[in-house]
Amino acid sequence: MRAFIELVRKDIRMFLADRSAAIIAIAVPVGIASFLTMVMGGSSGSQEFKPIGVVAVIEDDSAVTKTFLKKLDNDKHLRVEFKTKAEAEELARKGKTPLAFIIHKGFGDEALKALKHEAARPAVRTLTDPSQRLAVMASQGYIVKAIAGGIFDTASGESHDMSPSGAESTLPFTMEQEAQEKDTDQEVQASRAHIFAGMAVQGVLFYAINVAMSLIRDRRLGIWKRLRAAPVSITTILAGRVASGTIIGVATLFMIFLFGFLVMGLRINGSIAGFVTQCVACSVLAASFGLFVASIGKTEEQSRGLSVFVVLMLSMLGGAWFPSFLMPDWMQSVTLFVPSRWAVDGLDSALWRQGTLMEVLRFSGVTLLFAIAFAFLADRRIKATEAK
Amino acid sequence: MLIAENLVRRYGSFTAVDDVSFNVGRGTCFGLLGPNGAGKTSTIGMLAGLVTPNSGRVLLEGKQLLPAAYDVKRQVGFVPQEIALYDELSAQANLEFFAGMYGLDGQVATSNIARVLEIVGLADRKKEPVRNYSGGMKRRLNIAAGLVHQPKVLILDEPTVGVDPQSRNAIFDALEALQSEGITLLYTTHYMEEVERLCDQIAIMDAGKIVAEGTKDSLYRLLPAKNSFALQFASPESATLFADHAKSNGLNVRVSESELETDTEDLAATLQVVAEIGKKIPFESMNTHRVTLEQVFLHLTGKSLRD
Repeated sequence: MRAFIELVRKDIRMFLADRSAAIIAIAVPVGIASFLTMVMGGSSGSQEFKPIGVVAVIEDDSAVTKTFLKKLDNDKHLRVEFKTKAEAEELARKGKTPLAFIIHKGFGDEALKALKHEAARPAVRTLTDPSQRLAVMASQGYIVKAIAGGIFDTASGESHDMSPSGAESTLPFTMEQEAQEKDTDQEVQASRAHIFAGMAVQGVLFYAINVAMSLIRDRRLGIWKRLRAAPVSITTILAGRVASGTIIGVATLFMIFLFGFLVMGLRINGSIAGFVTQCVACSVLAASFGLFVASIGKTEEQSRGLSVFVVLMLSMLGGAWFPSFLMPDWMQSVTLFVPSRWAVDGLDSALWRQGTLMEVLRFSGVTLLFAIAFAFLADRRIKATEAK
Repeated sequence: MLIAENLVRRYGSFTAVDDVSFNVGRGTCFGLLGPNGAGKTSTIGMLAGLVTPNSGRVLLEGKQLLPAAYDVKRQVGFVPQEIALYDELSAQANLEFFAGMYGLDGQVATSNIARVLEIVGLADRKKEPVRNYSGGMKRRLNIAAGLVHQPKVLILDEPTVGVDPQSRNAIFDALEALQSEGITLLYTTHYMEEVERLCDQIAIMDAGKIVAEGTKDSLYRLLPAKNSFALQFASPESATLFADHAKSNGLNVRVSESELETDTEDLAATLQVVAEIGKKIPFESMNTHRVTLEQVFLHLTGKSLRD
């Protein structure tokens, strides 16, 4: 135990001894996240659209509704799933869909009356994921177009070519976005939180390169021989590295998010305990990943080049640069096997998706499983190398 | 105290250590001498418990030393050839770390650190980062890190590589002080002068095998002559002519350019012959010296230690 504590203490001393490196480890992700937050404002995502998956809650069975549902079905820009209201609310809250809309019972008849100015315009209630603003805007347009077409087709038996933009004020229905003012704030929050989560994960993964380099340097300097001559097992030496890497990683994340909270106005909208747990899980992942890199690298130069590339790929695929829902479906499936995806999604869940402790723990659990896998592989590989 | 028994270590098809055995007595300094690639580092890797032998065993006070034999490992200190220290940390912090690796903390660690810093003469610089140290100071601290847990045996792998003569002497003084305290030293080097100064018992290694082992005097006796001397001439022709006369008087000589070398057991008689020939063929200068381990190695293997 004494050796383990000393291994951890030494690594923290080393980290603090090189103050400029410690500051850079925190300042770089903070700088990038702040820059992206300022440049992108409240928005996030790209301009390119694949079919947008929206959720429909249909309580009406009028001819109007049947007609516009057919139109939605034929629209190649949308992919509509039908759910209950409770399911739709949950999916929108979790960001599984950018938009869910609710067609209440009697909507078709009310719309036809409104068209003849015989009744007030009925509302289509929408539930949106604030982080997916572009997807929300685009899908709303296609939905408005389809509903309007359905109403006019039913009323006159003719097809109307209506532009979704600018036509809403003359339409016989309204689109009602729930808690509009709050959502605007949530959009900004979500965007900032995602950027900080992504950059923070990228930051600790870059720190993992230092863990790898220090282990390889220990080998080059003969310190590894000295450690091996001591009455300490390889597993203890590696566990010490993971523990110190985790402590430094948590401290780094703490500084990054502290800046986010104090300067950029970030908030934890989900579970605070979940947020802390996910920060620890991300740090364990980074430290274990560092060990794994060290176990496969022979020289510092070779390992540094390889690990920078891998960290950039992990960051990109994990959604650190842009949200993973903007990726093609096949890539989203692939990224389920990318540990950083779970790391970023877990922080997202705790920060702005209002994830409960249990919801965040799911992400933390998977993140830790990846960490255990990396640590196990590193341990096996280093022991195999020693045995040669 | 420390017994190497039929040690064999192979790397693939290459046999680095081939059936090496020796016995190091308590409180002695045992020198393992050989050129680069002789198998010294692999041998001490097994002695320090870093490497598992393919066959054979290492016994320390009757207990087998293996990579996982922690109670035996606690009695062994290891000083690698590299300066195995953290440059960013102070000497004190480095020693605290290595003491911790052997489970020491608190007052025991503090007093041990103070003691080894005194031995290597770095007590007054203990707070400075190691990167500020000279090469010689780092070497001394490297030794201190191997000593901090008060081992019974200290294994040193070429501890003076790249060190200036002054620092080398400081290291030798420190090692002699340790030996006087009863610590057993196992010292590998390819500098025969170091072994000649420090070691009571010497094993000469070449190509993975021990080619000779014994005290300095017993190794010198392996050579046909105890002394050698060299004469310098004004020209190679004079040297060759002198050599012809010397051979006809029964001396075994070698000529290289303008220099003539000979080995002898009876220095006085040889000098008499040389003086006689010198009256006819004058030489410019002459020097004599005892045979060295370098010559012993050359005699045994046909190679130079620095090859």
